[in-house]
Amino acid sequence: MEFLWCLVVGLMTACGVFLMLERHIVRFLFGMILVSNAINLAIFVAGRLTRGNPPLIASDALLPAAGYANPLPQALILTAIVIGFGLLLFTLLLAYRAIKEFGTADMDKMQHAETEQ
Amino acid sequence: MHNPTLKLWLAFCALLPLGIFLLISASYKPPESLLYWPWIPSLGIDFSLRLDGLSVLFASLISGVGFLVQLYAIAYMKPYKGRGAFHLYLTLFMLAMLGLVLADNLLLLFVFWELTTLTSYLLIGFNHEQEKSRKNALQAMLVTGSGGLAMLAGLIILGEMAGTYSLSAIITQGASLSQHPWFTPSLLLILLGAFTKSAQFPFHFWLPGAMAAPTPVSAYLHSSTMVKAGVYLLARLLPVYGDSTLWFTLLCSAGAFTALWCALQAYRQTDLKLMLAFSTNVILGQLVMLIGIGSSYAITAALLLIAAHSFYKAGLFMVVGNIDKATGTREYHELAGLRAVLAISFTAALVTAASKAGLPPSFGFLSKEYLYKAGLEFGWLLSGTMLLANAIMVALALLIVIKPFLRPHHAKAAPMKAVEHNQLLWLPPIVLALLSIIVPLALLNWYQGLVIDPAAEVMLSTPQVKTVKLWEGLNLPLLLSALTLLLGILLYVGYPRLKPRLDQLMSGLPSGPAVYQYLLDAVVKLANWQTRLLQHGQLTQYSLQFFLVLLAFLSTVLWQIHPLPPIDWDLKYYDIFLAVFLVIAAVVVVKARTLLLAVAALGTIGFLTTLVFLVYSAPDVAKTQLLVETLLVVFIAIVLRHLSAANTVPRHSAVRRLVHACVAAGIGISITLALWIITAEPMNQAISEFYAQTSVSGGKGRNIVNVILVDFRAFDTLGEAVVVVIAALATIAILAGKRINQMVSEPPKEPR
Repeated sequence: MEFLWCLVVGLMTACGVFLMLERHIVRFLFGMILVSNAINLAIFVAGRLTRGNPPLIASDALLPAAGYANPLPQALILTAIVIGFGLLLFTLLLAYRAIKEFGTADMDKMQHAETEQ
Repeated sequence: MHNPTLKLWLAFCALLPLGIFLLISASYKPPESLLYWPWIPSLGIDFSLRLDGLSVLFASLISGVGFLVQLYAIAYMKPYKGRGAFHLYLTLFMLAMLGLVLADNLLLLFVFWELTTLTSYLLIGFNHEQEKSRKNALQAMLVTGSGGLAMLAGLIILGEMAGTYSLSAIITQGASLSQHPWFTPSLLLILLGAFTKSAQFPFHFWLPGAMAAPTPVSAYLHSSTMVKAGVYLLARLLPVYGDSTLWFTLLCSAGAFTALWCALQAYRQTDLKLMLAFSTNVILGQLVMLIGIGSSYAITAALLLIAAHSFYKAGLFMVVGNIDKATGTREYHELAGLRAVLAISFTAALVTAASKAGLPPSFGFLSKEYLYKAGLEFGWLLSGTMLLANAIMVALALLIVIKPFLRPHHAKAAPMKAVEHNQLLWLPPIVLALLSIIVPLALLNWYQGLVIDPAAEVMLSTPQVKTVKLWEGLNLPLLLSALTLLLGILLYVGYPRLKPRLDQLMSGLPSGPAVYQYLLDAVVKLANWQTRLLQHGQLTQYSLQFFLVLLAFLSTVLWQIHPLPPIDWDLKYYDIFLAVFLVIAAVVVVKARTLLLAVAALGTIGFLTTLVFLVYSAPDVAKTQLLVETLLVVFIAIVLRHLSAANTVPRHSAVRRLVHACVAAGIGISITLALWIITAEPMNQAISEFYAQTSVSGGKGRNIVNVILVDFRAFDTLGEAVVVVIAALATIAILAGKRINQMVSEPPKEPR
């Protein structure tokens, strides 16, 4: 079943990258969100998928039930989601500010730093 | 000198080299003594010093001449600002130079080698208010520094070939390394370092350029010490490379050509200091040639010439410094009648110039005799070249003595003032002049026993030490010496007619500094060209470049898959349902005409991802994803409300979009393949198992993911929280910051 998700991750990444190459800064941002979702999934898939056996330990046991899901990628993704959230929000407001500043959402018209030299 | 601290500092700087000199003399027991401290043993780098015949010669020259130069500099640098710093640089340079000649480890030697480059940069550029000083200091550093880098590569190859970085261990292996396939590259790279440092053609030009330095620096660095570092390295590695034909050919041709070429250049100069600088090039060329020959006569000659040249050249530089002090110029045709004010300097000039010309019984005469003996073993070509170079040296020695001192003072000559009331200006050159006479007359046996014999022992595989004598009867070298003097006098007499001829002949040839400048400009042009190419200011071009590079790296995966891993189609209906909807939503984001639809599709993707995490046993991740996704969609929607005007952005051309599609598809395929290969490999669960087993006992928690986050990797989580806080602060700054356009364009309000 991992192969299906390999395909999905690849497709999502391709869509995200395509968006990140566009001129509209908000669509660039959408691309970023898509790519960060896809990469989180990729880490998850790389740690192998397990159905219906979360890495939890019963109250009367010292170890999780055999065949438990890999907890390590889950911990990593949790961190990645939160940091990604901070980053995306920052970028979103940067884009907002850039649009206000330049009066356009066209990234090819945002050349303030270069022309001021 | 009213500042007591400065006085103390200057005294310290002057006495330190004297102390080192005495220490070296006291601790030197031929054939060699070793000092050893482990420094980075795991990398084979030790702080080990070795004192043998070769290094004792250099070390005592560095500390002895260093003492005299420090004394001289106290007087010479008196009117300069920052003279305390000058003495500091000089002392640092001396220590680096001592480290270089004493180091018994290749890498340690390199460190000191670079330190001499750095400190000499500070010294050459000491008059940093002048553009010329800065430029020439940089030139010297770039030339010797790049040579030093090549040398580092060469030394590392040498160390790897020998299996050790200890110089003494490498030297005992001797010529046995010559069969190694890397022998020739290491030889060439090390030669590059030595040739740049010792100013061999075509790198000779930096040395005359370095004359922008104050005279004490020229007397120290550019006659007796730093420029001889390359010679030292060549002499040190002679047992390793000496038998190679390439070594012989390269050293002899480069050395002989440098000697001849720079002799001709020296003959053309009108500035006395430049004349001395080019004649230093001549001696360096002769030394390199002698080491290239590598016979016992040649080694003896080199060991004599190194000391003889250090004495007379440092002395002459100081005399020229005094002339500069007395008159403010160094152009010889403006100078006359200086004997009246520089009586003692004149005596020093007379003796040192005699040594430079090779008049018996000076040290210079002795070394020249042995130079001819060594040259004659290899035929007339080398001897003839040396004869011509030496004859020019004779002519220049005559010029330096006669023109400034012996011509009567005339109206057109520069006005002069007495400067010799300061003893430190004349004491050091007169000591050097005395040494040039005393060593060959009275201390020759001592020099033989302490320097020549033990040094020849280290440098030659079959030492047949030549006993040096001042007078060996009438023989061919003596005749050559006489011929040199005769030719030199002729060259001096013919100077007014020969110099314009020579100028005419050599004017069409490219000069070293011009070629250097051309190359430097070319580097800057190349940098500008590639900057314009890559840093064009087009944001979307940047993203395209970025993803192209990413694709180039990722696509390496494509060549690694054979055979393809098997596909495991163990799927449930909801797997397919989730996957299909995720892909549809992703395509909708791309295809959406309005931003609002795209946001809706993005939200869908977020919630579908949440479900994926839920299905595959990751409840904590699902919970976080759900919260974050909700917040993100809300925020985007709020921001979009304020951006209704920004909807009309033209799209890229169809061709460009096709390129984008290809890049995106390539990256997607590469990631799919990479992930597929990863998941087909067996998995190492050791870390996960460790966390699962110690979760209850170590972390007192039953949710393993939770325990990992807040216990095992608590610092990561703390960092994560900090990142979010920083992002929030930065966001406030973005929203509250003043608008750039307003800052730039709004005119200041005028009062009504």
